[in-house]
Amino acid sequence: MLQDLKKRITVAQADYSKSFIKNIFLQRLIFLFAFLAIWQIVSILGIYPKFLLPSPLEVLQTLFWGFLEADYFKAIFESFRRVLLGYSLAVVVGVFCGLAIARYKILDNTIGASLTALQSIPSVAWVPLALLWFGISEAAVLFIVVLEAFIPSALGVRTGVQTIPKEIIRAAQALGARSVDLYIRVIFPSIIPHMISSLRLSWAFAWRALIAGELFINGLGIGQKLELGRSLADMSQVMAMIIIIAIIGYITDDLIFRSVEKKVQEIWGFN
Amino acid sequence: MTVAFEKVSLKFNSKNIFVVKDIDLEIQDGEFVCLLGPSGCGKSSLLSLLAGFNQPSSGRIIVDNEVINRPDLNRTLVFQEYALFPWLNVIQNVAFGLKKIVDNRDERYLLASRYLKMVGLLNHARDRISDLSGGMKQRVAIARALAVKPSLLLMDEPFGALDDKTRSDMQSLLVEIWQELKPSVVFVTHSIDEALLLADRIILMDGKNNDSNVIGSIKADMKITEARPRSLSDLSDKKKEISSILSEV
Repeated sequence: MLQDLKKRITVAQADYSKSFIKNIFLQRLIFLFAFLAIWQIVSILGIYPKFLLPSPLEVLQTLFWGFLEADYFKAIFESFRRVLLGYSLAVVVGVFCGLAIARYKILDNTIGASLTALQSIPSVAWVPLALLWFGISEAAVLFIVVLEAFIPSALGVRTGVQTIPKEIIRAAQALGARSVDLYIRVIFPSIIPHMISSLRLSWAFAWRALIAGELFINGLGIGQKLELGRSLADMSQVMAMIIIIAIIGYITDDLIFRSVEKKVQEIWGFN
Repeated sequence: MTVAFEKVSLKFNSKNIFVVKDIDLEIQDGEFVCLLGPSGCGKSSLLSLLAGFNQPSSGRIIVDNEVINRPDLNRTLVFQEYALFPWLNVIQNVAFGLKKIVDNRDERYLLASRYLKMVGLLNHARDRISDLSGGMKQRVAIARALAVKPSLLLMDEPFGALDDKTRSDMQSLLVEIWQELKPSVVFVTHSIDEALLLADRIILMDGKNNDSNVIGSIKADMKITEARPRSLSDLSDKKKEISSILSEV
């Protein structure tokens, strides 16, 4: 009797693990549709005025026309150009800064400590300063992006270098790697797993800082479109932009960075 | 290659405590020397002095008429933790040190594959380091250290992380390779059995001292002349002798 019950439980468990509920993609899809359905129902019920809560279909329509007229493509392209420029600058500055901090104790005690403090400042807090220094211009946005995004890279590189096992360095030195050669052939590749994680973090920071900065400047860009939507009280454009930001964030972080990170960890034997 | 420690001392931090003090020691060309002792007796410190990573606080170490002041291709290392480069595959690891010696890449790989064959890993030349077992990793590390033809091979408890069977296989392999290439070997271990099986000569060290300012010192220097391959049952007298010296202190 008891054994029979046990058998039935095992069969049930096996059924469950095979069932579609276990499929993560399906789970997400169902969640998304449920969310959109509730949204649609709430907006049809008319509890909130239309200019505050457009229906998902309206937002979809805005997205459709925005892309069809190439308007959104241009905005995304401009934002990407800006963030890539800022991000590349930030990574270069961050890597050299991190290497220097890791190499000289006195820099670690001084600059290294202030980086941690700097990291706690939200990017939007820099906007007034950047606007006064650089005017209402792209330079102001780049300044904020670089300032935000170089810190995770610098701290990541520092930690990466400081946690290289002593034996790795010693083995390399005994095998003839010295000074610049040691950096290129051993120290740099050693910190790549750390680097990927901090590059990913830098990217997230850069992306946030970009949108914060773009809200305040003129021209094309996702942030500008968002701000334009606000000033025209066009809530469906505001929501369309938020969706675009989320999707781009998801694609870059989850699909690009995370898969690179996974591959690197596999090669370096971290699993 | 002959090595001579001349009154070598190493201070602990900058305080007046010595890790080792006034060490005199000579190692002959092609000799297999084991530094044997419990943890914290200064044997690994002697090894890193010999490698050139640290400078003695006083005295000097002379290798083939030259005072050691930095690491050199002529003295390579094998560590307990392998210290392989995970971003390189097996053969690239072995060829790492050859970059300074051989210009042609194909020649480097050819040389490296010769040493891989010696350690029995030629079939794994393109494998990732993370896919290897502990014993295989240590074989790669040995091949890497030997590929640059050092005249002195420094080994810091190289088989300490391996299981008994692998450890014993590795010991036989090491003796085989050493007999073929005949580098001088300085092998740090805390296993009496391992020292007895491998060494021409055992330098017995201990971390307990009459002088409280000195941590480690040499207690005995004994030759092991039994022919290889050895079996421990033939060496039980020596083992008793070593145990009694270590427990005496």
